[in-house]
Amino acid sequence: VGVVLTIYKVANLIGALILPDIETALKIKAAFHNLGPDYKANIHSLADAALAADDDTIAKVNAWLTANGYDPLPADPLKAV
Amino acid sequence: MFRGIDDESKLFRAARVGMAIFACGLALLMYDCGVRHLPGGATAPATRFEQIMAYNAALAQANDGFADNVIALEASGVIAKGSAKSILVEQARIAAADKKITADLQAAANCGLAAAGPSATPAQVSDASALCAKSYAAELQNAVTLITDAIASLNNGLLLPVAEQNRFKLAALLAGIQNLSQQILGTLREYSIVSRAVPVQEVQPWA
Repeated sequence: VGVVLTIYKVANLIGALILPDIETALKIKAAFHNLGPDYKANIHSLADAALAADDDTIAKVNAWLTANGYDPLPADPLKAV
Repeated sequence: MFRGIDDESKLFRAARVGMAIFACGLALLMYDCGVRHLPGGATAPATRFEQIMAYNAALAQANDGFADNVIALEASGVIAKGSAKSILVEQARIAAADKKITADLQAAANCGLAAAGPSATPAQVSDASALCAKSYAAELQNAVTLITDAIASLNNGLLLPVAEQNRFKLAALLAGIQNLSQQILGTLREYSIVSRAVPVQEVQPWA
């Protein structure tokens, strides 16, 4: 029982420490690995990656807001309060 | 989230080690964005304009990951619904400001490509793009300031209702996003795209 409890504690600790951070780190790594030999392709892929991430953020915030009974974001999210 | 851990002081030390590892990893990845990967495994220095855009993409992705974490923490009951709403709205504001940065940088990059001509080297195109970006200086400065202000309001108030250990982790992620926004601003200043005179608002990630 002691061993199981120790494993449980360690798993809890690892989960608490790593889960929130590793996904962000992997996403950042994916963006940085986009730098290839072609300048024009790099610029376009980095702009596309940024726009995709920003659109995804706004979409998931909107989905969460509406699912939880809040008003969705305004057309310009900068005007959100 | 910390069920089964009796000694919180040990957990706090472990959390700090975890965040330090993450910060080191982020620093290594940011160093890696300073190079372009050539065929055969060789590398060459990335132009400064590529670096700005790489920092910008990384910021957008880090912000996206942050929103994932907030939604997951709310779903598991760690963050109250009202707090999650306030935090997520700020994340959306950061994303909207970053979209303006991306649009301006992309327009400047296209302008630079056209101005430099097809036989220009990447460094020459980068310099031409920086010259074009001066047309968007005010909007770029404003967007970076919006992001800095949003991060400051998160650190100085919106994250405070979150339980301490989770607030530390979220603040560490925010510090990474803040660092990336300052990298963008610093590179824009190196290129004289925006003024060096504008003060930068400091963020206290452990507030």
